[in-house]
Amino acid sequence: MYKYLFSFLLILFLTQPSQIFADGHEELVSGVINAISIDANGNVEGILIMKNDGDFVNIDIKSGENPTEFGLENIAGDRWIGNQNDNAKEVAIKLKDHQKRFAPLTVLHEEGAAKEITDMENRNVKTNLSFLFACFAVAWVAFFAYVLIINGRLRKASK
Amino acid sequence: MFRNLYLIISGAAVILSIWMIFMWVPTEINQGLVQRILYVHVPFAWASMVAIIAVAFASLMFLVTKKTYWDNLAQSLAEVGVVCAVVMLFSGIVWAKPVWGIWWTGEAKLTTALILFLIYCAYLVFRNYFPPGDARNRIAAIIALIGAIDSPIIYYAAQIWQENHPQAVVGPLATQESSLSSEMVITLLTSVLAVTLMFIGIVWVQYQTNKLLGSNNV
Repeated sequence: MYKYLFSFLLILFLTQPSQIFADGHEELVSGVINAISIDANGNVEGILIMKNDGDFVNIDIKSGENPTEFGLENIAGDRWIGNQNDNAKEVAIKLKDHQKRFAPLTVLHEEGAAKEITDMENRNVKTNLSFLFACFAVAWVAFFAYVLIINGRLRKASK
Repeated sequence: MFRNLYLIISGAAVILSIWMIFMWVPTEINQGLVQRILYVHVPFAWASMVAIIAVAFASLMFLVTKKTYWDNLAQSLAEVGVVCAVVMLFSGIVWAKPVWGIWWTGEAKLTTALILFLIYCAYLVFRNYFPPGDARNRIAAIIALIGAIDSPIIYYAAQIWQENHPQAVVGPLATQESSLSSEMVITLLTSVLAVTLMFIGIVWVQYQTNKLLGSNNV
């Protein structure tokens, strides 16, 4: 019993996942705004992001149903949250301000269509997998250890 | 028959919740992958808070009826509750480091959660070291009743003292700002259901074990 349990835990530890599968359908891109495309009505249609490796990525900004959500800070650190349905003019102003200041952004997009745009996340969100693994490992070890303790007590009681 | 069915249902719920956590739910943009700790932290926090209320209720019933099975149930709930509290505290500590930059702060929500864990420990230590008998059972029941006061304080702590800990994301206290996306809510509720089923099952086994051992509850 214990042999199998420890073998299972050892395999779990050695083969800890290097990626989360649910992460595959959305992408994070960080960089500064190189260009902003605005239509005749003042709505932002898209932005051109330059990543830190020099590559450019075209991002479409959505309005209407499921609009792109923004969470952008000004130079004083005041955060503005909204989308183009709420205030299209403000979106353009905020993005131009970021372009002027070379303020880096993080974009969550799905096939080039932006879902969320925020100020660049300084923490490396991709590399904190070890914390996630530690949490799940301890939760399950605690659970199985407790089940083993109960099992021992049951044996003692049945004797 | 019922036991096997219960095992299958709770096992399926646990597997479904793990599948949803790692394969289905989208990654939160600001915190990244580590936000998935939510689906462990909240269900175990829920279980540990429900457990202390149930311990208090069973203790109250013991004080009123003097039936030993209520006392036995309170002890079983407390033993499972302390394991849930350990997982809640550990997952919270591990989550705080990448998100807040520190392992622990002395803010209200964290401190009251730690107090809950210490109440469980005090209750179980008292039961183990005090000589068995009616006096021990009565004093333990009173400790449990006093300890249950902590549970609503934990729940309301983030609302009353607004500090680092986020406010409630589901339930009556959740606001539009604090609420999660529908996929995250579904995953969270599935995890809560899985942990609750697991919790009830283990409490039942623990109760049967304590009943068989008997001497503890003399």
